[in-house]
Amino acid sequence: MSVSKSISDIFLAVPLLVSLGLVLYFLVVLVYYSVPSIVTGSLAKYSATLPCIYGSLLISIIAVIIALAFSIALTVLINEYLPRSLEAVVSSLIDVLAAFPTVIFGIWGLRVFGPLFRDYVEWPLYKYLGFLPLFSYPPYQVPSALLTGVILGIMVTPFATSVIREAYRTVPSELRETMLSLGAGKWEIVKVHLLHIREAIIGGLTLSFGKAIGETAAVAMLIGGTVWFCPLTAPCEAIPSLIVRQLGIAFITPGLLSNLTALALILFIIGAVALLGIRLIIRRAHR
Amino acid sequence: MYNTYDITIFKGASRVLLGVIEDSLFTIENLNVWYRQKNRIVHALKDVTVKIPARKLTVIIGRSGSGKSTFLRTLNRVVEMYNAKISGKILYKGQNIFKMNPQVLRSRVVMVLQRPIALPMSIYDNIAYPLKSIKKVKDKREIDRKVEEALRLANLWNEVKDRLHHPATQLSGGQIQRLAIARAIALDPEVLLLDEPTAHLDPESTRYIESTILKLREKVDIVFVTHSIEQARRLAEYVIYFEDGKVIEEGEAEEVLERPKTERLRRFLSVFEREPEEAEVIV
Repeated sequence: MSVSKSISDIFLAVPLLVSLGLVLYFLVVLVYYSVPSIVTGSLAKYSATLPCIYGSLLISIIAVIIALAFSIALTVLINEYLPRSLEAVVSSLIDVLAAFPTVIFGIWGLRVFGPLFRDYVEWPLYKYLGFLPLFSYPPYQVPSALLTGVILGIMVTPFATSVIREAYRTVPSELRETMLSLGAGKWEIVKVHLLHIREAIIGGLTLSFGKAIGETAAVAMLIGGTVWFCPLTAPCEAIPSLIVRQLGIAFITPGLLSNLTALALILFIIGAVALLGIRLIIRRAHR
Repeated sequence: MYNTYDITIFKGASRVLLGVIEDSLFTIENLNVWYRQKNRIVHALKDVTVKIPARKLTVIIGRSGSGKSTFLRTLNRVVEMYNAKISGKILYKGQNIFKMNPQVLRSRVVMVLQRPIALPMSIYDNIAYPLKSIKKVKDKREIDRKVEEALRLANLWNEVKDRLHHPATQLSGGQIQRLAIARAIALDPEVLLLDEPTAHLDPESTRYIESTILKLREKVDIVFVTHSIEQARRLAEYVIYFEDGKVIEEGEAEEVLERPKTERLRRFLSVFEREPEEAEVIV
């Protein structure tokens, strides 16, 4: 009995140790190649550092908000309103979206969605809320931080939806029956279901943030590549797109490759901190 | 001569009058219920015709799978959640329940499930949330008063008064059962449907629930499903015996339980008389 328990403990521990080892390995690689930039103070002097951290956070937050709203709405639609036959169709459509190469979203955003978004969303925002710093830039061009965030949100929605939808399905039927038995309507039942799966919603949020902050191709196509503390309606820059854009000259520019590696390390740390923060929120909620 | 409003008043008055004359809470006629279980259709209730009296604690007894729970779920149309097919008529205080808004019906005829679930929120909110969202009670003091009153009625107040804002999921099975009863009675229902509320509880919790039910019978009409004859003897004023989806016998508790008229009920009761302990297991 104790032997079999030890064996099962080992089997459980192996994947955990492997994942931990991989994380540590990548951390060591990033730190090793970032050291010259950090030690010499080159990173602190590098003018793109702070604006790109700001840009990455800005577009990821927009993406998470969009993804969360869409994924909850889709989950409720699929589970509560659609007939069984349509449920399968919509679910597989969402799964197909998850498999799309991100450059397709980039091109679609740039050529189809972007111009419409600029004309019907960004211009009105500038016109009516232009007095606010966030909307103070006239959106003459298609690429912008807001457009990038929205497209990223659409891109990560299928991932967040799959987590939230699965959790919604596993809610015990007794919860629905309990609410129905008390005279609750559909909306009250949905609210209790969402409360029941709040951890999965936070999980979906984590996944969306992780995918959004690390996305490169679509961001590089949509963000505009302008390094500054941009308003939402202006072109901007983020860490992954900056790395891709600067890589061509990084090998011939002294210190640039090290700076870019240090920025990748910062991206890694932001992702890890966000993950830990969310875990902490879940633990506190449990208490 | 009369406008719609007058006619509505006449209808309402006649319903009240019928209720007084008939003294029946539910009148069920030729009720049939079918539902799908895996790949087969189950005919759960077969031509059930029975009356449930008002102001009497009615206990429904029968073996497992005899249709007791389906019958209870049909009284407030929760059975429709399982895509059940229903034929026949159920009158609640003279009103056809299948013509009523199901939400309105369920807020008047509230049910507590066999395995109730604590809503994913605090003990306090388990009672306050349905009050706010279903009964649209807005006043905080009124909600506080109702929460305390319901918890006292359900014999739970003393155990939870110091941790009202703790998660309800931390409560024991018996406490969750009483919380479910408190949640139901806080909504001021006209009828309380209880589906084997003590089926999975220890004797002490069972005693608590039974004393709660006895306290509540003064306040609300109760229809109670149990498979325990001893419990039916302790609580029932009116008994309905189900077998194979049909009502076999019904009547005053003493009459039905002590002097059964049908051979089938006699056989069912005799199992308990021979080996009460074993009978619990058999049934």
